[in-house]
Amino acid sequence: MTHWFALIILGILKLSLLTHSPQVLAAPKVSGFINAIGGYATERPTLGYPDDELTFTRDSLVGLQVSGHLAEKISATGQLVARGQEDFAAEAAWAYVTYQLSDAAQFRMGRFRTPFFLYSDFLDVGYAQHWISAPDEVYALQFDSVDGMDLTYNQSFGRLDSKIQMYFGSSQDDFTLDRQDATFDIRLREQMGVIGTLSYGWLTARASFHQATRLSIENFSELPLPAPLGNIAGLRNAIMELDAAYPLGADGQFLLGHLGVQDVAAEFSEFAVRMQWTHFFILGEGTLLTFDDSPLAKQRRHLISTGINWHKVTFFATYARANDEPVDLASALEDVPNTQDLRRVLHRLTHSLALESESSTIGMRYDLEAGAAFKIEITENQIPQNNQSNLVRFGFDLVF
Amino acid sequence: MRKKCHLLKLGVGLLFLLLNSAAAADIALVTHPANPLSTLDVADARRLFLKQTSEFPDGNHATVAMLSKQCDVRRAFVTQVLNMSSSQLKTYWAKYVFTGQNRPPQEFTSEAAMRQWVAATPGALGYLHVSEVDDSVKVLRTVASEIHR
Repeated sequence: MTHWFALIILGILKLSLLTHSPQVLAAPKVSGFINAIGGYATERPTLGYPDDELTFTRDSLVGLQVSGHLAEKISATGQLVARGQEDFAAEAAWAYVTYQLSDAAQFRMGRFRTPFFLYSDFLDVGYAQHWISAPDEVYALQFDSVDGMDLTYNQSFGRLDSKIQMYFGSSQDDFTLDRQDATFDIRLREQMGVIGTLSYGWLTARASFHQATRLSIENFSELPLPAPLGNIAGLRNAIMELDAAYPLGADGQFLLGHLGVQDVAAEFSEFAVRMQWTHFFILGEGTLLTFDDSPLAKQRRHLISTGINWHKVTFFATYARANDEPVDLASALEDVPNTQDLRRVLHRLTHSLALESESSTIGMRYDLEAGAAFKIEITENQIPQNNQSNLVRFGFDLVF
Repeated sequence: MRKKCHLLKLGVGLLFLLLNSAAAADIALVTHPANPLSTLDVADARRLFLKQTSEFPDGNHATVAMLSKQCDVRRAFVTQVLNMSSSQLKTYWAKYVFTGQNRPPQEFTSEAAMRQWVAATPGALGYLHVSEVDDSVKVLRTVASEIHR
């Protein structure tokens, strides 16, 4: 996708240089942000940080944005982000063209951040947020950019501001399953969503609904499983052999239909409320993600965060929880003799695809000056059958 | 009980002080003389300067501008009208700049330049220290601040 970015940057620079009417078109604007964050976990690898070792790569990143007007109503924006997690290799986070249809309506085309969450639009910009990073439990969707188009419409009713955004597109990404050391290639086709936001003074409420009619994880059959099965493909073979020896009927069809992620429908809904006064804020956000005919769990996640700020200091506390409901595949073999081992594998598989995690964080943000903040946080994380672990993180967030 | 009364007295005293200082008006919200609007609430001004709306309460289109960081009037304006610290304002705009959706208003480095722009731009909304106001612009509201000139 880097060609998108290159094209847009070239477009911005070229057209700005060629323009002979300086009063209309301003020079391209360059802005950027840096998150320099270090952290260590006390007991076990926690939220992406190894234990007993101070590391600086997980949440650190550098972003650079170039935007400019190609014509009075047409602008282009490109954003490059280099993440510590990916060895600071720069990638085109976004690149899109905006057409201002009117004061109230805006049309965009290109690659942009999928507006799943309240903080999606500026998720990489640590400075724009009170915490070091939005809680992993909720802000967990790894396919977070979409290639497509969107339409945004703003309307005010007195002091009540409303915004409706609709998008359509597709996306593709590599991702790592929670607690599985394997990388998968996920593709979403015919992805669409609608987002409504209402704000009135101190109150902002947001609701969104997204769906993809065809979601596939291309190499899902390679997901490792204990010997002798080896992987999901091995598990499917074992079930087909079992079906040949002992006809499973509808249960067999159900199992085979659920042991893959190929062109399944997925739905995601989100609701958030944020209340912000001069010295106090509180926000809550809840999400629900469901997949049809796959072993992937129903993901139920929520968070609540509150803080007070006085002059340059903000103290905050956050609680986040993932409470996924695993798909039940094992009971399809309940009445079949000599299938305890298979049922155990199915049970473990579906539970490993469901996340159960609870995190409580307290932290402080200190604004050094406009554009630079120092933050420190301590998170207590709890996952089943594991020790509680603490994660300490600190660092600087800058914008320029 | 006695302690409570003292606290109450202190509260009333503080309130009186606050009200008293509000009498000194220092920042003028100014517009183009042809603007039919005659007054503007601070809450509506805040929404316009934060670009939460681009329309005056009467529905006419508004274009806003700020003074740059070097100006003392800007600092007072950010605290008294926007009800924010400069860090909070920077954080507010960071949310929009990096989504390509919106940009902070244009900035002028001097009050003279701001006045000239407001006088020449129908629908303009800016601000000046009251001592910088002349007939070329129309005052919609004055707001108290701690600036001494």
